[in-house]
Amino acid sequence: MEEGLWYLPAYVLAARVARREVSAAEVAEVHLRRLERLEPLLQAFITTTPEAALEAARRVDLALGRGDPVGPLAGVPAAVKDNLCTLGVRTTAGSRILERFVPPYESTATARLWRAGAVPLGKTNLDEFAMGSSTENSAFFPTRNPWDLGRVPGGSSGGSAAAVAAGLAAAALGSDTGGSVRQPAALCGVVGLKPTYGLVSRFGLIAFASSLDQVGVIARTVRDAALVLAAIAGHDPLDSTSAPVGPPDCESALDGEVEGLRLGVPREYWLEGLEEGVRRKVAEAIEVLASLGMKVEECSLPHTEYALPAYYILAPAEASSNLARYDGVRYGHRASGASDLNDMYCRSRREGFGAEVKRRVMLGTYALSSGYYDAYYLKAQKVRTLIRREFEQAFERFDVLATPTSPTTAFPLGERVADPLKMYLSDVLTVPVSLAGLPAVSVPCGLSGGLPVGLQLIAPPLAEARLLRAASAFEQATGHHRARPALDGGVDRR
Amino acid sequence: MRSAQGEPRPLLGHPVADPLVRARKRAGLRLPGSGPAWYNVAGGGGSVAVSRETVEHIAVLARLGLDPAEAGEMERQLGAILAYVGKLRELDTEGVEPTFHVLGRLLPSLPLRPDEPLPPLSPGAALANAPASERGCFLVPPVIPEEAEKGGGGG
Amino acid sequence: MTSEFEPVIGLEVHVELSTRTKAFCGCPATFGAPPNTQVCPVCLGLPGSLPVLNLKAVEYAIRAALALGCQVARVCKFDRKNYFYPDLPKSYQISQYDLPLATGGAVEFLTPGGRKRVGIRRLHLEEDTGKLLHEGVESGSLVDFNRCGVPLLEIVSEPELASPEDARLYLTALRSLIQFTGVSDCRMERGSLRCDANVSLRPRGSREWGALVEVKNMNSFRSVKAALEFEVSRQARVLSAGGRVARETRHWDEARGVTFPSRSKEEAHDYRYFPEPDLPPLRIEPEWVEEIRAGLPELPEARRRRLVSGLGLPEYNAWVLTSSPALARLFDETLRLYPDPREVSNWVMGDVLRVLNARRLELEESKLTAEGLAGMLRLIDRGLISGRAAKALLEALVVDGGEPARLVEELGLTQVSDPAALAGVVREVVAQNPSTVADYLSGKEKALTFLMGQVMKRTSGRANPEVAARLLRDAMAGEGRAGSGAGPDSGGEAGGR
Repeated sequence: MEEGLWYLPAYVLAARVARREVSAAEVAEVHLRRLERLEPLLQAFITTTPEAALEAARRVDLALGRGDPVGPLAGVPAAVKDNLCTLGVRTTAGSRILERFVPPYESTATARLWRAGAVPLGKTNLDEFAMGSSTENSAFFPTRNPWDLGRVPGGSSGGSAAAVAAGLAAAALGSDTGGSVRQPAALCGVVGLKPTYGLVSRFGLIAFASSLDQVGVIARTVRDAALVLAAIAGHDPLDSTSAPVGPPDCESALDGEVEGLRLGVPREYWLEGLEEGVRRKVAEAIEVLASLGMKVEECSLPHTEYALPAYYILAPAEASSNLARYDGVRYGHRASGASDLNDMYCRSRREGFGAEVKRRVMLGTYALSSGYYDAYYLKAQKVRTLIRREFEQAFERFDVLATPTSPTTAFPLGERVADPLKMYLSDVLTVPVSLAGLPAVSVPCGLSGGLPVGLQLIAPPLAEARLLRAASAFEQATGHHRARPALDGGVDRR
Repeated sequence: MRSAQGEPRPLLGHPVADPLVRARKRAGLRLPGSGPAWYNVAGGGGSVAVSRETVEHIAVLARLGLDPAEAGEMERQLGAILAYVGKLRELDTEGVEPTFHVLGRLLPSLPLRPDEPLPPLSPGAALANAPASERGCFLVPPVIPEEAEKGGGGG
Repeated sequence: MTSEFEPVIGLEVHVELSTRTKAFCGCPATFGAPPNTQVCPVCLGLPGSLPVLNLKAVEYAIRAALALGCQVARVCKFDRKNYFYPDLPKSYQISQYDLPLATGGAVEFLTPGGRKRVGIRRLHLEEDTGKLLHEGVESGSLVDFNRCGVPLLEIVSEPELASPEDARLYLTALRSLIQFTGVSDCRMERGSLRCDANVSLRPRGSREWGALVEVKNMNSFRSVKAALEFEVSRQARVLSAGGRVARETRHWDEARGVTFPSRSKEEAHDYRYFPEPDLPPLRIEPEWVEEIRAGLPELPEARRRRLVSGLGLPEYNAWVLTSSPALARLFDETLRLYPDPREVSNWVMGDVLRVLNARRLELEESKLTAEGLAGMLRLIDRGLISGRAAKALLEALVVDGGEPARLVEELGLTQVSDPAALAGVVREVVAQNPSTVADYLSGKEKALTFLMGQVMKRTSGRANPEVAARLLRDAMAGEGRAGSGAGPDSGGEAGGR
C-alpha cells in the first residue's frame, strides 16, 4: 500500500487526493515515515517540517471535505532547497553563516507552491550558497546518492534530487545557476528542469549569481515537472528581472506531436573526456528521438568551450557582491570577541564561510577589482554575448538541442573535493545554457554501470512547452523514468 | 522493460557494438565521434602568478580574514583557476556588446513600481535575527577610530 | 585667500527625494520614525530580497534634471558600488556609474561681480544608507535603517567654482531650483540635502592642478563655506611651504573649525562597480520626459524676470526673493494683499529673513503668513504702530502667528502719539544724557538718533517717532537756553543701542 504511494507521480497523487481516494494526510504520513527511515542514510534534508506538512495536508482534506476547490498540487508532498526563504522556517543556504537564520518572509516560488496545495516536507541540503556540483560543500553534511550511497547526488540541489529519487518527496524545488538542478537530476535519475531565466521569480531565492540563478523543478516525471512549473512560474512584480509573461501551459502541450521537430546535436558537447557509458546512453536517446519522427542533425556551437571559463568569472564576481551582505550586523553568524568593526567582519566571514565560498568570493573580488575588470569581468560578459548569439543562430535551424547533461555518472564522495577545477568541470555541459538564459531539462536516459545518465534537452527562451513535449515523448517512449534505486531492498523492510 | 511504439528497443544493458554507428545507420544520423580534447586538458593546465600581496589585498577587500596558510593555498588555487579562465583571451571580442542582462527583448525596460507604501516589518521581526541589538537598533562593535566621523583621527 | 594660488572647487550634492516610499521597496520614507520601524527584507538586505524601482523616484529625478537644464538619457542603468560599512545592509549601494540618468545642465547664481554659471556634469539616482548613532553607547554603535533606501539624487557640478563663497552661492541656487520643482525639501539640518566638495589648487597662471582633496561632513551652508575656506588656505600653506598636497578624503570638524584626514590608508578605495544584475537597464521614453517638462512649475529664472521687468525690482532683490519657493510664495501672496512691491520686498528681504535667521527657522516652520505680513504693513500705514513696534510684532507673527491687530493689543504695541503721554519719558532721557544733549546742541544732529532710541526703549517702541522727535528737540532747546555743564559720559556712541 505504502509502496504504491511513494513512487507515484505527483500528478497521479494529486488526482487521487482530489478524488478523495486517499487523504492528503495519509499521503503525508507515508512520506514522512519513509523520510524518517531513509533520511539517516541519504541526509537529503537540513530541516524537516513534519508538523507543517501534516497541517497543510489536513487543510487540503478539510477543503475537499467541504467541497472547496483545491490547487493542482493539493496533497503532493514537496521539498524545497534550503536556499529558498520560508517564512518562520530556518533557511541556511547550506552555510554556517546562516545556520540560525529564520526569514520573516516567504519566497515567491515556495508561496506559489504552497498555494497550489503542495505539502511542505522540509528544506533540502545543498552546496553552501549553491556553489558546488556534489553537495559536499554543504556546511552541515554531504548528501548521498540513492543509487549508490558511496557516491554524490550531484549538486548543488543534491538534497532535492536525492529526496525525489528516493521517493521521500514527490517533487522538489531547486535552483540552477550553472547546472545545479539538471546535473543532480541526471546523477540521481530524475527529471530536472531549469526554466528560462526570468520565468520563475527569484524573490526569496538566496542569491548566488543573480544574472544566472533560476528556480528549477526536480520531479520523477516530465508531467510532474510541468505541473510544478505551471504552479510557480509567471510574472512577479517583486522581481525586476521577472519576464512579463504568465505561467506556460505546458501540461496540455505535453501530449502534442513531436514528429517533425528539428533536433540539433551540437558536436562540441561530445567531449573526449565524456564517460563511455554516458556517450552510449545519450546516443541511444538521440536515436529514440529520431525514431519518434524528429529530424536529427548534427550542428556546431564553436564557442561552447569558452562557456565554463566565462561562467567561472561571472558567477564568482556576482557572488562576491551578493555574499558581502553576510557581515554579522543584521543576521547570521557574528564572531565573538571582535576588537572592532573590521575585526568583526573578517572573523565572522572567516568562521561563517566554507572553503569553496571563500575561493569564489576571492576570485570574484579579483575579477571586479580595479585594473582587472576589463580583462576578466567585461571580457566574460562579451563572451557571453557570443555564446548567446550562437544559440540564437542554432535555434533558427532547430527547435530543440540535445546533449548529455553531465560528462560522467555520479562520482564517489570525496573524489573531486581536493581539486576545485576538476569539480568545476562537472558543470561543463550545463553552463552554456545558463549563460544564455535558456530553458533546459535533464531527463533520465538509462543506466550505465548501475548509475543514471541524463539527457539534456535545450529550447529557445520561453519555449518550455515545446521542450517538455519533447522530453515527455522521450520519457513515454523509453520508460527510463521508472527505473528505481535499490534502496528498498536491504534497508526498507522492518 | 521500456518498449515503445510497438518496436522493441533494447536499451539497458544491451550489448551494443557502437551505439553511434548504429544510430547513424538507423536514423541516417551523423553524430560526432570524439569531440574536442579540451575537457581533459583543461584541468592539467598551468598557473597564473598571483602575488601574495594581491591575495592579501583581495582578502581585505572581501573581509575574509585569511590566515597565512589559507592565503598560501588561495595563491596557488587562484593561480590555477585564473590560468584556466584566461582561455577567454583567445577570443577576439572587439566590438562585441557585453550581455549584462540575458533577458534582452523579453524585458525591454526596467519595470517600475507605483509609489505606494507597503507595511514594513514589525519591530520585533526586523531585529529578530540580529546578533546584537539595543534600544531598537542593531548594535555593532566600535568602528576603528580613524573611521569615526567625530574621532580624533585628525590630530 | 592667498593670491598666490587659485582654487577650483566642485560640489557633489545629495538630495533626498520626497517620495512616499523608498527607492527600491514599499517602506515609508518619512523622517523621524522610531528606529527600525520603516524597514523590510529589501532595505534590510535580507538574503533573497530584490529591489524594485519606485516610478516616482525616476519622475522626480527627471523633473530635477529638467530644472537644471540637463539632458535626460534615453537609457540609463544601475550599478553596484561595493564597500563594507554597518549602515550599508547589502554591503553595496545601488547607484549609477557609467550611464547616469542625466548629464549636462548648469546652475546660475548672482555674485557681487555679476552672474556666474557653473556646469552640471551628471545627475543620478541612488539609495540612501542607514544611520549610525555613536552617542551614549559604550559597547559600540547603534544602527537605524529607517533612512536606508530612501531615494537620493546625486548632482555633480563641474569643477568650476572659483571660491568658497561661489560654492555657497551655487549651493543656494541649486537648492532653490530643486525646491521649486517640489521633489525635495532640501533641509540640510535634517540631512535631506548633503554636500561633499572636491578642492584643488594651482599656482596662479599655471595650467597644472594640484591633488584633489575630498571634503566631507559639512552640515550647513555656513559650514560649507567655512570648511572650504579652511581647506583652501590649508592647501595654500602646504604648497607655499614647498610641500605636496596629498590626494585624500578629509572630514570637516565643525567644533574645531578644521578638516582632518579620514579613513585609514589600509584600504585604498576600490568600489568594484559593476552593472546591477537585479535591475535591467531603464529606458526613458522621450514622451514621458516631455510630459514631465510640461508639468514643471514656474522656475526661479522665470520668476526673477517677472520681478525685475514686471515689478521693477532690482536684480539682487529678485535673486533673494527666489532663493526658496516659500519665500517667493510669501512675497507673491503678500503683494496680492498689499500691492507695493518695494515695501513688501524690503520687509521680506530685511526683517523677515533677519528674524528667521536669528531664530534658526525655515520659513515653512514659522507661523508667518502673507495675511499677517500684509496686515502689519497696513497697521504701519495707518500710524497705529511704529516701525520699531512693527519689528516686535513681526517676531510674534513668526513665532506664534495670529491676527496682527489683536497681537498689537495683546503685546501693548499700539503707537503713542499723545505729547502729554510722552513728555515725561522725554524729560527723563534728556536729563540722564547730558553729554549727548550737549553734542546735539553743539550741532551734531546724529545725537538725536541715540536719544530717540532711548525714548523708544523706554516706551517699548510704542512712541510715535515724529511726535517723540519734536518733543526731544523742544526739550533740548529749553535745556540749551537754561545752560548746562558737561555731564558724565553718555556711555556710547550716538546711534548705538
